[in-house]
Amino acid sequence: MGQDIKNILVVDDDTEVAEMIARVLSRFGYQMVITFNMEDGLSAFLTGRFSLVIADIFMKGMGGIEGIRQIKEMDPGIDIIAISGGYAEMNPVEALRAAEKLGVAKVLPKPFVIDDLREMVSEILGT
Amino acid sequence: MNTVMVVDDDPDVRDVVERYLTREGFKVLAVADGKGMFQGLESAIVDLVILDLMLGEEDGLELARRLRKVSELPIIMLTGKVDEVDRIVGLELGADDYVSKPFSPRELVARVRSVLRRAHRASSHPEDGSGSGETARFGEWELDHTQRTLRSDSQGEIPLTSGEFNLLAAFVSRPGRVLTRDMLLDLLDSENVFDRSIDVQVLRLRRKIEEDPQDPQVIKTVRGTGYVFASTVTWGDDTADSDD
Repeated sequence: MGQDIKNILVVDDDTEVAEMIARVLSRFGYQMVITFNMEDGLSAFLTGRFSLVIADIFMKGMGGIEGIRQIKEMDPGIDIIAISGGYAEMNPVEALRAAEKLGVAKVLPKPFVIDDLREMVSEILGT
Repeated sequence: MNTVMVVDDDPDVRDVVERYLTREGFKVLAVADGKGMFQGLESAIVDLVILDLMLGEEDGLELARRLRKVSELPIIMLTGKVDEVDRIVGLELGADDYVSKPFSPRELVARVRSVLRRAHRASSHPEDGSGSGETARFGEWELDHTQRTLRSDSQGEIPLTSGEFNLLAAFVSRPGRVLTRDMLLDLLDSENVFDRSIDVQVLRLRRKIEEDPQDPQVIKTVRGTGYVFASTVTWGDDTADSDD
């Protein structure tokens, strides 16, 4: 039974968003690991097997684009959902398009409805 | 500075844990297997062990059991997602906490801090600064860390030099552990203590606390290695008697 548990890494410097995602998805049986910057996210990624990464694009320090590139380099098969609200110089659509080029499975502009994210996760993981 | 030993066969995990704990001010010893763990424990003072339960062909639970037999060191287990039973067994064996893999390195650091806080509260080692007001009792002796005095009912107070007190305090906080001269030098953390002066101070201490200094039963010599404090130590606060 335990073998079916999927580990999901959430990387978002908006702690409320990261915690909300973790809280909701854990109710559906996913094992959640959250970090609030990409540097910690990359380190967490090395500590075990993840089925999915949910990453914000614009964060202080290393951004999501570079982080996603590095995660894909470590594990080309990993599924990633990129989320972004954009920032002054780049709207979320452009940011998420950039993420798509790096091979993310899905993109989701902020603000989003948590049910949409959950459905995306469920669809990707086949759960 | 607390020293944490990480036992994990995955070099990535060792690297991540080492990096984060070092950044947080811990000294870290990273080893890949049980052999490395026991060797490391013989050569260094370790305050906490982070032990992976899936160490290649080795059984982490068995290692935890062996470790528990010889040491009261706090243990945090790293467990995989399917290890629920092992997790329970591990906690039953005396592990202090567990962290599931994969994990957030910051969460692990927080757990390390929390387990160390609990362990320090329980043992109140004087070198942690948390032992003020604590008295260690061994045999007929009472070592008061506040007054920095040694006394017994039959002999009254025995004067100790500062060096002798520090050395005795280092011993009583680690009963049953073999302490090399290097380890003792680290613990005493003094520029004025040298390798051989440890031997001289041990000799002096024995004259003061041993029934027969020629046949020491409290501070025993471990040939070629160092010393071991062989008495059972209990801790308590002298002020506890004041209610009577």
